[in-house]
Amino acid sequence: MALPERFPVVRPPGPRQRWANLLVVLLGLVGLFFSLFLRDQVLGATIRYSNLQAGINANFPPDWLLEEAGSDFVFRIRDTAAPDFPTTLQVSLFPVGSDSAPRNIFDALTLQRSQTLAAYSVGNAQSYLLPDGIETSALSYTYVTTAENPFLGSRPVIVEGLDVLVFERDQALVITYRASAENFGRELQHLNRFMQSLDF
Amino acid sequence: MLECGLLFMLALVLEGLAVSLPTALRAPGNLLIALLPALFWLLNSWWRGGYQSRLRFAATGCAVITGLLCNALCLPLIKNLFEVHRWLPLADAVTRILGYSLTAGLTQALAVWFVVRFAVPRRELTERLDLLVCCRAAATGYVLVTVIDFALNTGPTASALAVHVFNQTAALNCVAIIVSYALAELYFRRELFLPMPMLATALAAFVSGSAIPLVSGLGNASLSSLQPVSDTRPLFGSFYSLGLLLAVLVVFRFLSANAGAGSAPAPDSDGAS
Repeated sequence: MALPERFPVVRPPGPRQRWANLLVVLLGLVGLFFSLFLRDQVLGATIRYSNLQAGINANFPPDWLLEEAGSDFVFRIRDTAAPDFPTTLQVSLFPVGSDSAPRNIFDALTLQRSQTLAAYSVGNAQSYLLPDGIETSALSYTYVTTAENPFLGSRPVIVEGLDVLVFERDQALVITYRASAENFGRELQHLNRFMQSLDF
Repeated sequence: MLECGLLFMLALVLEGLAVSLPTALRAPGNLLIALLPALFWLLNSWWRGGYQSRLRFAATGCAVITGLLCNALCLPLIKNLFEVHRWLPLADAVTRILGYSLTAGLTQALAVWFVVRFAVPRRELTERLDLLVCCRAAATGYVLVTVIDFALNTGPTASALAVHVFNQTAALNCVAIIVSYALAELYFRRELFLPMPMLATALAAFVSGSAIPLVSGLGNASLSSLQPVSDTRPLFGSFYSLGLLLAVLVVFRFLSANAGAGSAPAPDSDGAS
């Protein structure tokens, strides 16, 4: 006796149906991996910066704002789209004597910043491993800032900073990384990528 | 598609009048607008007789499961793993279309595909239109979660939310139409062209994903040569969504109507097994 059409006979799936299903799963997996690849390509895209006068080359994200020849830096790049505070990478050069120690540079920076930055507080000096395996010094610090536009009326933001010091002949190169305390850890990847591309 | 027409009319009226609710009424008003796609779908499917009433429970199950899947997996995937907000809005046009298709579009298409394929018992599906009913129910569940998420997390004006709700509903209905065609081919076509379901799912992902940058681009573009400055006209995006939905509807209705020759009543087993 034939079953009513409401309950059709259930037969095992044919090989074509099985393979067609598997192909859809495959599409999902390929799409997942390709979208992650595309994301990394876009997020990791950089453009080259060259400063012939200072002899510095580095890569930085294309959507970051580049500023050159400021009063206290050779160049700096800022992610103005970052919430709270623009994540900043800044390169400064200081002439040094042959017997200068990292402490001298850090003390000079601390003295200068404690007069201009609110609630400036020095963390601890620490060692920092450069991409080429050379160990150097770094200094962490925090301060408080508000939005540059007073009409925005935003609340003060705690900024964390890290100065990485590199001695090269009679010059000291200070690479400064700053981000809001909330984003400091997450945005540290930009410093690492920048350091890997930095050619001094 | 009556729901889409009503949502489009609502977006047209609210955006045309630039309606913005008072602060005290904004949250409940937004929630009501966000619930409208599901309410319209419920009214349409539960009060309507015919074949839709036979699939009432299967379709409702699809909507609930897809909504839960969207909330538990799809939205976290798009927001936290793909992080589309970090890299797609500022990318170039081609990357945006490709990126949204591979992330949001593919997630939507696969969610609808897997829910209808594996949650609806095969014995419930006796004709091609059954799959369209189930896929549209799944799409409604997905839309419901995304628009509630949008309404609660961004606090938009009533007019902006109505436009967003229509755009989302139209895009997900396009996905539902294309995926239902692919599933119908899988279930009812005796000599299935092997990559067809995969290609149709990819097409659904592309249609839905590419709509995101195109709708927002048209909504902010100036189409005047005399004043080439970008302007906010969200309804341009909605007209694009409406046109896309109608085009998909016409094309796949034609394909479905001409697919009867090679169809078989029940070549596949229970999808839930």
